[in-house]
Amino acid sequence: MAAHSDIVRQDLKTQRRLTLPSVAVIFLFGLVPLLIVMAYSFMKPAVYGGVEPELSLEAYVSFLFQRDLFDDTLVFSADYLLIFLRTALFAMVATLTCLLIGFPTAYYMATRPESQRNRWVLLITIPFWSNLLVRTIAILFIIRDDGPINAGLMALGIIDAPLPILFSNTAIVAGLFYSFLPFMILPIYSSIERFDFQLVEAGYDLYARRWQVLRHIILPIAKPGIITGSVLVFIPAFGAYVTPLILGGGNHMMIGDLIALQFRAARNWPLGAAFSMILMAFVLILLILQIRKNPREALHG
Amino acid sequence: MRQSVRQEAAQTGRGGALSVEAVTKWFGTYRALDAVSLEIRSNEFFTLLGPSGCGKTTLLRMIAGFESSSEGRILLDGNPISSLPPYERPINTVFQSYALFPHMTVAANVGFGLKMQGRAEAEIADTVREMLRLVQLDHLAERKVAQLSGGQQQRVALARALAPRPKVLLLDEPLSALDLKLRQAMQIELKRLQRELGISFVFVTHDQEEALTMSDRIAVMSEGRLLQVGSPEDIYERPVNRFVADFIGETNFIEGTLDKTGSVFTTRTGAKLRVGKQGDADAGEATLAIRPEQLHLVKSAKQNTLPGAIESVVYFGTDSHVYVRCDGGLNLVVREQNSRGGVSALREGQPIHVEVPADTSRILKG
Amino acid sequence: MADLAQRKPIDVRRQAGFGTIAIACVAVLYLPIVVIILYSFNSASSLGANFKGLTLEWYRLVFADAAFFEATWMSLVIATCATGIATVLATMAALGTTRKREWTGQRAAFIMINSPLMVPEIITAISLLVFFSSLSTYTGIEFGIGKLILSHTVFCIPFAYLPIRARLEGMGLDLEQAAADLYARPRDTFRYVTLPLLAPGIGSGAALAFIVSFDDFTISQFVAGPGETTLPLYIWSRIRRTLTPELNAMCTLILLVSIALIVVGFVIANRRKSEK
Repeated sequence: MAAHSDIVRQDLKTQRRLTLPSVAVIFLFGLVPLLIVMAYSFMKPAVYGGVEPELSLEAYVSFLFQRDLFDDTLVFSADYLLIFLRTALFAMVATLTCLLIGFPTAYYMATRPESQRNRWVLLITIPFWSNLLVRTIAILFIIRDDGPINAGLMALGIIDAPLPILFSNTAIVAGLFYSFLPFMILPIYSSIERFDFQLVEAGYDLYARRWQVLRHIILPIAKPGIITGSVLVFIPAFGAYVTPLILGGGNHMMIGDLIALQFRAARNWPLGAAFSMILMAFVLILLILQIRKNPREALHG
Repeated sequence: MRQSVRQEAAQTGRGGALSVEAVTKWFGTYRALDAVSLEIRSNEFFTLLGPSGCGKTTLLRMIAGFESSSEGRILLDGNPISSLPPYERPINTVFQSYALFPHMTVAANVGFGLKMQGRAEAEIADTVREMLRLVQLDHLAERKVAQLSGGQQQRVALARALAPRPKVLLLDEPLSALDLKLRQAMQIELKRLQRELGISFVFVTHDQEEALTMSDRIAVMSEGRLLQVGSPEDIYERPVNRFVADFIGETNFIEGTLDKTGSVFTTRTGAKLRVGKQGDADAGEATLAIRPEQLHLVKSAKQNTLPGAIESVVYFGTDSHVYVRCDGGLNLVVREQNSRGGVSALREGQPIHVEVPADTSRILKG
Repeated sequence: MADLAQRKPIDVRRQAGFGTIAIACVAVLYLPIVVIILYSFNSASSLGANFKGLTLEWYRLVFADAAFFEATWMSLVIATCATGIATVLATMAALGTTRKREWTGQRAAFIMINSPLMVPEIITAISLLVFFSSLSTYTGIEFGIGKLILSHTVFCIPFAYLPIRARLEGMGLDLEQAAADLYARPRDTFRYVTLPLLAPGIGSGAALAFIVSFDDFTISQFVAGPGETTLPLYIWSRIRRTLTPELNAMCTLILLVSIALIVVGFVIANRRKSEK
């Protein structure tokens, strides 16, 4: 008997050993760097980037306050807060747009005959895995003042002068929508696809109208997918860096750029670190809420 | 020791004898097996029978080596095997799901065990051919398993498990996925193979009919405990308790008391029935068990009859099941051969008497 | 009454306008891609909207650009190394977390392995920047190109891990138990049963890892040292100067690499399904 429990122990040891390298790599090069950033957020900036090893809450304080140049008093300043709020607004509008367009699309895909569904999934998957930088440059290309969209609209006589879309808030939100739309479609699709439509037919027999069926039968079924999709769009949109960098032209900042700025031109690492921690906390809260609402989906990563 | 077990298997070709000694298995706080002890003899067709969740599959998996026991031990031909991993036990399994390797051909599946034992290629090829002939699939050797029907996959699984000539073959509900006709054909075939090859078979099933027709001996299990071990006749004719009697075939139970002499049984309604000698039943509260085919319908009251009325008659080809409502709310099933005249004349509500022959009734405790 | 009888059977799944939205949706997703591919063949030398005619001139220029090739080579080296390491580690971890017992801390390990997916890219990027520069400041350790490979490996691991694990979970333990039952030692069970059946999962995991590494821009931008220019970084350096038609050709080439990988992965995955 002792011998068999030795086998069990041996199995468990082997399993731990197999899993350890991945965990170690991610711990060392994923978690430790994050912990360092967290530590840095509580320190003072050094002149040429880096930090002074001195405990300070300055970075967090300056998120909401500015120090007066002359008498060193704290004055409320909404600059950074506004960037956060704007980022949240952009991410929210992008998420809602994705949902508005993504839900009917996902529903339509899921109600295709089985042979066609795979083709639809492939169609949505290709942009999903295509290079984000290149796709964002492609948007930049088509919405330029002399790009195909403006040229087309002018040729049709709809407008006289090019619409200044590029480097505007609209451009950023459109970019976010375009970048993360597949993240919305695919989870909703997979939640509806599993559904047995015979139940809808039962609903119809009870004289339910189409939109009632949609509201009372399909929406509850699709809800886990909608929640997952919204989180999957909102989180990367909230932390977006490439989209505002290219389509905002540096004028319309989001948190992602703000953080990047502190580690580049501004050379204020603690401030950047503190912003990162605030962003990270936000993301974690969202993820935890999602897992609470949706424990089954969360297990699939 | 490990070496000797394997060599013996290869040389003698004689079925192994298994001893299960006081094996207990806990899954957390749930006791799947409770001090189960049994002996499986060499060359025996032994069946573990019980409803799902009774622990029979757990015991089988323990013999195979996929599961460890919490207490107790298992011996093969007198040697303890509990500490051996599955690949060192000369025991093979036919899985309920067949578990055929989908990326291999039929022949590669059947030859897998031999290849892992390090046999020569020529020997493997010969054995594979022989095994496939044995299960009548020699024409499908190069097919992929996905292209086979359920019945054919079943045969491949069997050939694969038999090819290395194990001392014991374990079969985990192997026929449950087959339709009735195929299942009956396979029952006969399994029995033939077991006799021809001289391998001990341990067969797990929840189908009592399958167990009765195939087994040399049967172990009936329930809730992790062993209730009775015996020949099919033992189990059927002399069940030790109400569970066994009820699980194996249909049984009528009549509650009442047994007198001190052990030969007169009084029902709840006060009717007295003479019963045959009962070895172990005590006087007092008791249950009389009798099979439907052992009861007889008679027109008028005589000794050892209970009065009642026909409730319904269900026609079953060679026989009919007659449901009789007796006094005191007692419902009895009587199976009558249709060849016996008068069955078709029975009408619902018609008064009738049921004869309970003294020599075939059995008194169970409680 | 007659009206009721004659009514066509309704497809209850149909919702008005959804098909139009779906088609519009696909059009929107593909419009920029198609436009950029189209204009990469436009013979007009300025990046205007007018389409003059077809030319391969821009591709000729791209292929004559030594820096482009250097960057491509750099991207390939990094993606190959990161994919290789990540796929091996992820396969091991997937085996360790599905085969065959549950161990204490397994759930924590699962979360740990997937954690790179939950952190916004920009945070990963700056944290790696901070990490490697602090390391070189305080210990003097320099990783060179290893910085990029290690950084990519971290976020490639979960992308490789998830499909491999999904495949293993779908396989059940039956087949491996059958192999052990037939005298296969653990090593042989792995070689003859687990590995061949797992191959499609490993293939799609590796394809995903390669795509995300090859396409990465944000993290590379912060981690890459001088001279370690990957393809996306090179494109970024070009776009910051002026938009030229050459850029369209480069973007098209990159897109083709991703699309080819996705389609191949998709075909493999679907053939596997239909085999079942």
